[in-house]
Amino acid sequence: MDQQHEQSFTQVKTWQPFHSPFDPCPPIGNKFYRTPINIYMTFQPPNLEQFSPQEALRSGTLWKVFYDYYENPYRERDS
Amino acid sequence: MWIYEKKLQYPVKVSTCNPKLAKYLIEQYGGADGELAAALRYLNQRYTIPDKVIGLLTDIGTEEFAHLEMIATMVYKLTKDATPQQMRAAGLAERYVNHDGALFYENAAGEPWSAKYIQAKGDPIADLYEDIAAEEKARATYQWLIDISDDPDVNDSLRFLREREIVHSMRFREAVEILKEEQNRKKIF
Amino acid sequence: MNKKLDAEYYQLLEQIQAADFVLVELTLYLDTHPDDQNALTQFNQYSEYSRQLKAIFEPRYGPLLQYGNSPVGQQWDWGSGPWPWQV
Repeated sequence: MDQQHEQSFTQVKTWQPFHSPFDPCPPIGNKFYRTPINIYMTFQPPNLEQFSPQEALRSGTLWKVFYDYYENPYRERDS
Repeated sequence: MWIYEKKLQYPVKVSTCNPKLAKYLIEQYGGADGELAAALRYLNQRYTIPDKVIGLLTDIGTEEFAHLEMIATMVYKLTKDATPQQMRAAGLAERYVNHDGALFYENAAGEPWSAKYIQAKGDPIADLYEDIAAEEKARATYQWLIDISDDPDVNDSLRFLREREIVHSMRFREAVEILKEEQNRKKIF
Repeated sequence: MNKKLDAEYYQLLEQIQAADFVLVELTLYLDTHPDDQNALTQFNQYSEYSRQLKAIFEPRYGPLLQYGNSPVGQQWDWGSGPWPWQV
């Protein structure tokens, strides 16, 4: 989603668990965790850009800045 | 006093007949980080929290009951037309023999809901940090449910519920800031 | 006796859900930003808008709120289906 202001942080972080040569399974590679914007804000500032009511309902929030679409990050490996 | 409004907060749809999904969704109905726990936790804490944040706890607590109803709707739609054979094939035989298609406040492993899942320490900072943690745990649980489910309509509702947790978490963080009473003061340590 | 649900029912319901959702979001926001006058003005606008939508919905499809908080006509409609988890 477009942000009204410059985004200096990402909503997903990655890390790699340590892989031992004795591990029975092939390594998962990247693990992911989400860092939605609420953890970077102490207080929501006023007058942030809003969705229309229908978009807000569908998105789950009135303010565009909080919207964080979630998809299974491991999808490519399922098949 | 509570008034019930005869509509769902969000239009819940289920596209695939897959009762197995109900087994996982029930985690957010009667599980430790589910909507019942959230509603009861906030509505109970609000009696002794400082006045400035009672409104927030009341309003979020009430919204959680609406989310509980959404989860119930998904489970109901997934199981209402299931025969006993279909329930067994979906791994729901244990639930069926106890409840038929009735919903119940239990988690995905069949453990009944417990007040042990919630706390009210009486200390507003402790209570609010518990609330923030609860919202983050619920958000994570919705992520895992979205990962496990391949029903696009169910996932649409789950994404809504996950987004609500993000906003609730923001509000509880703001409540902590309000109680810190630091906003207009210069900080000197 | 269940009501007949046409396409208009679902459309109107979704408009109400959208308006009421804005009101929930603004309520939570105002709980932590009680001095934001713009938000309060927007809240009051949507409150009125929601009332208008329900004034169209309820005569057709029955009362939304319990215990007399929604107007009830000459029939006790409250107990009629379908219920929200059934639609």
